[in-house]
Amino acid sequence: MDPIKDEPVMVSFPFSAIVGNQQAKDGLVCALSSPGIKAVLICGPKGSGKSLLARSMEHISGGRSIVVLPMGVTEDRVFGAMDIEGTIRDGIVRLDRSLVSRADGNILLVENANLMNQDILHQILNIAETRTSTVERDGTSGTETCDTLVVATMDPSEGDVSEHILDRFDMCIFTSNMEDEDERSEVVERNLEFSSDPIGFCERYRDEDLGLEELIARSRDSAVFIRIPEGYCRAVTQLCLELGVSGHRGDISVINASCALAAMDGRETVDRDDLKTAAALCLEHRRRNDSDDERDDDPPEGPPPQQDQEESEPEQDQNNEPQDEPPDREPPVPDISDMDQESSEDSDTEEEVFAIGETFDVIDYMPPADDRLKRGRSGRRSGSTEEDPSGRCIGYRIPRGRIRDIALCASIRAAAPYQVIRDHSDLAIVLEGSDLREKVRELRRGNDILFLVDGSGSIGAQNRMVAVKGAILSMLKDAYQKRDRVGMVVFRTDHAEEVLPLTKSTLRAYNALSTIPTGGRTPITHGLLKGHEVLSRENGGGNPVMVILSDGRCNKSLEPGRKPLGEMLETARGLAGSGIRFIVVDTEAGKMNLGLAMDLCRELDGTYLRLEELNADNVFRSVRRTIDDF
Amino acid sequence: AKSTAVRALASLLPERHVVGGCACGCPWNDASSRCPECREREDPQESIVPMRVVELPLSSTEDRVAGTLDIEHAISTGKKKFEPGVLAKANGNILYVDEINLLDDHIVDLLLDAAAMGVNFIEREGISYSHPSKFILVGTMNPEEGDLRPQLLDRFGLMVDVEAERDEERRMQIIERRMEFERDPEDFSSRYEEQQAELRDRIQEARELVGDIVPGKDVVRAAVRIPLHLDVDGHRADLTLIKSAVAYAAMQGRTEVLPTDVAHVAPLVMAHRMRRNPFQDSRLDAKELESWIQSKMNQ
Repeated sequence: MDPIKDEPVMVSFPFSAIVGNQQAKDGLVCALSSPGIKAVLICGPKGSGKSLLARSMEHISGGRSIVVLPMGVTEDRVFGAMDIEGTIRDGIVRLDRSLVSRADGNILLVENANLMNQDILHQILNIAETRTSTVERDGTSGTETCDTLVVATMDPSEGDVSEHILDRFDMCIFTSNMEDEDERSEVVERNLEFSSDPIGFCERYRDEDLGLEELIARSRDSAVFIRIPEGYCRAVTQLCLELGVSGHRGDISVINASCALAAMDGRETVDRDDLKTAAALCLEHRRRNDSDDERDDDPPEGPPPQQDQEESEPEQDQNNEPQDEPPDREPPVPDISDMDQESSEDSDTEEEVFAIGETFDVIDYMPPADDRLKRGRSGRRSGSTEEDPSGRCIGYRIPRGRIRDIALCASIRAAAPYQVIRDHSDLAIVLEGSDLREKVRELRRGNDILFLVDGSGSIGAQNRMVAVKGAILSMLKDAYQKRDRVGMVVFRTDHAEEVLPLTKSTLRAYNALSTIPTGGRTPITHGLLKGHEVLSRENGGGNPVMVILSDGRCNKSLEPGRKPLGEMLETARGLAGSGIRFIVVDTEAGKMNLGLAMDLCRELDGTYLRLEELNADNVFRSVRRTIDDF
Repeated sequence: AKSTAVRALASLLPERHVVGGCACGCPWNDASSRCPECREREDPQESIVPMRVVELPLSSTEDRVAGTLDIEHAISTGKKKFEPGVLAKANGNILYVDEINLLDDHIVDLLLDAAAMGVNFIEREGISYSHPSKFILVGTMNPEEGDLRPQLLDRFGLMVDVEAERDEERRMQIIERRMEFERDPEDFSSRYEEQQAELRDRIQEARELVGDIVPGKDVVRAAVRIPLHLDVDGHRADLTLIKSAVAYAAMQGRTEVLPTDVAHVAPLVMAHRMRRNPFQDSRLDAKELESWIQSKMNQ
């Protein structure tokens, strides 16, 4: 059965009939017009038209059809595998038509790129870039050409792809939701018209789509001849450096896109506007979070202390006017040596429960799951273990030891070439022990995020607790979207308490957050140990992460007579090898920072952030400024 | 109470006209959306079958859901044949997933793909195949056990809140009826047959009416304003409001949709979409919504 001929006929929505998202449409036309652009990522929230855009490209792609890469795809289908029937019949290995060969000369559509197996995605992007696919499997080898355009879609709230993979996308276009009532009405009406009469509807937009198709074909032909004036490449390189884009793919993509844009405009040379447009298309997704520019712009002081931000209001995360903390709220500068004693006087302030501050979009604060996991946790890697039969099957291998999860098709494939010579009696296929294969499964592990919260009086005194709670709530929302588990341990006075066991229930998390009291001294060491205990309990749960929100001013020791700060740092040092990823969020306001949280972070070998830096808006705006100023 | 309701739905469902013998239940009148096997069939026969509720167990593996190589066939004849999975059986039917929030993520991904396209593409284990997979997805869940992924939540058109009955009288009634049913299921069912038949007919008539209803501009406006006002992402909410309002009007026997129809269905359509902030109370106040819509319409 030839899948291309026999696929159910689906009329897709005409490209020109798509309402709004003009930048996205322009970007796609540019990609189609450039022979050098091989991979495009369409990124946006759910329901914003990503799939619609991707699939409607069919109408303007000049004969290139859309080949769909389904979610549950296994390696053998993507890259090529044995044609069982042919091999059994002939006794020599015959290869099936792979997805890659079907994609040759066409467009390969990968939906939800962030949810699929990342190795397969990586290999596909490689193939697109190099235009070849080399196959070494099932007892045969071969190389085939593959000239394709990979179009992927993704909803970033569902999870991220790694930087390496992002870099392999030449272009990233963003879709967004519409706010305008008229536009939205138009979307609904066109959708209804299309549903009731798809053929007629397409007819109405045929001319416009044809026009685009012709433009694309012309531009593709002339794009290679576009002249690039002296200094242009230098400008591109400078821009990439300034934005902290690493590697050279960014530069090359910008050049390719610029040429396509010039060709589309009927010009012979690229100009400054081409550069701006191309940069926005090709560099936005490659910028590094910690490029030097952002460090120089101090983000504004955190959300102003407010006593009654109620949870019934939807998040207001656009409010970032810099506000100074009122001077009378700041306590006098303490001497570190004072704190490092176990003082007998009661430094407790009255116990208070603060409201939850404003919420905002969080940056991607999670450090990559690198070799931290190899240390300390013996025998566990972040894939699924051999014992675990759940998880998506992504391929097969020659079994090691006892077979638990047999891959029947792969075993049949292995036996296929030998059928001609084996003794059959009345069996159609004869398998021998050496033919057997077992499945390779992948289980995506979420994170187990434990929030270790400083409930001491020092946080309350500066009224920081409101902002801290706001930050935790924002991170909780982020975790909910990514299907992570969250838990909470609060430390104050002289103990640490597990106020929320690891859970996926957002309701429980919220309730726990609202009732955190503040007051008393800062027993950070107790907190660290309790947090470690909670995370270690989980065997085979998610990747353990501890987010510590504190100013680091430990003034209560676990062992009597020991200096609190020293004990804290020593404990931290001990925990650094435990396999937990640590993130220290410094709650100390700018002017008063003693650097203690930083010291704690260093001993934990963790990631350091100031409370204000969690807010994604602060980071995003400085990048846009850089592009615009250029 | 949730599962009982869904399973009882089966007997109210209309019949379907399909191609006889097809594992995917390809529709008879729509030739363009048939599976490859049906398109190659030499002498297709029309067959009338009842609509069913197909259950997807929580412990399903992808090969059973998406379909796979028919191993038996391969072993006995040496030839490749597609063995249909749950997504094929669900085509044209209701796909019921109990405790859907506990379903494995990668199985959910498969459902999402098929629900989005109405087609199930299979590329695995030696098989390259596709077949229509249009189904009504019905899921149940207990929110205390965990949440549903926002992307999956968005694909549900409507949400119904089922609460355990608190009124003492009603609770007694529930127990009594259940016991009667268990003592003699057939007798119990026959007592309600008249009501069932009436409902069945109403549904059938409404289905026929729906195709002729064209919503006017004022209805479209209402459907667009509500999600905007409630700060809901994406266009699915708008479209679902329209389609639900049309269905509601058809159930009332009308060929004209009114903005009040939109207001009426809004709680069902919007309640689960409003959780942009997962910590908000997701219960939408129906009264508040209706009066707000009235005020907008009077402008």
